Amino acid sequence: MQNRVREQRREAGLTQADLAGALGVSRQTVISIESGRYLPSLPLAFRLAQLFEVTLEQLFSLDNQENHR
Amino acid sequence: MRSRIPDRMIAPLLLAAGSIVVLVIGGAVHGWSTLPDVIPIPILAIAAMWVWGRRDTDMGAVIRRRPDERQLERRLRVQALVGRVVSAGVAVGYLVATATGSLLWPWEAMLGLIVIALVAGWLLCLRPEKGAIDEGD
Repeated sequence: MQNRVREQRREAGLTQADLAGALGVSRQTVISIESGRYLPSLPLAFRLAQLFEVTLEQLFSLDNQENHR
Repeated sequence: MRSRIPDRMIAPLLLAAGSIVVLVIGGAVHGWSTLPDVIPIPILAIAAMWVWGRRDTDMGAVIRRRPDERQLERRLRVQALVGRVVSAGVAVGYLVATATGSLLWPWEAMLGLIVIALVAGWLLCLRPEKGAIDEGD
C-alpha cells in the first residue's frame, strides 16, 4: 500500500502531533502510517480521509505489484 | 463509574501488589532474612514501569492503559509471544519433571490451565459468526 498522508498533512499545515490529536491516536502511529509500516483500520482510514476532505482512493492506493495480484 | 486511580498508576500498583504477595509468601516459606536480597528487584521493576509509563512511547501508552489501535495490536503480539513462551516452558518443565521423577502436579496444573485457556480462546474468538455464510448464495 502507498499513501499520501504525509503530503496531505503538510498541505493542511499540521504537525504529526496535531494530526495524532485530531485522530485520537498516538504520534508514533501517525509516523508509522506515514512511513507505510502500519496499515490503519478502515474506520481510522475513513477518519483520515474525512479530516483531509479527500476520498480514500486519493489517500491510499495499492502498489503496482498488489494491483496485479 | 471511573476509578479514582490515574490510568498510569494502575500497572505499577498491580505490579507492587503482586510483588508484595510474592514477597510475603517467599518470606514466610524461606525466612524473612532473605527479603533484603530480593526487594530491590520489584522496586526497580516498579520504578522502571513508572518511568516508562510517563514516556511518549508505545510502551508508555500501554502502561498508561491508553493504547490506540496500532499499540493494541502490538500489545496483542507481545501477549501472544508470552503465551507461546510460557506454554513451551511448561511443556519442557513437565518433560524434565517426568524424566527426573520430581514433583509433577504443578506442571500438570499449568498444562491444564493452558489447555483450558486455549479452549476458552477458541470458543470465544474462533466460533463461527452469524451471517458468515449466506444461505442464499
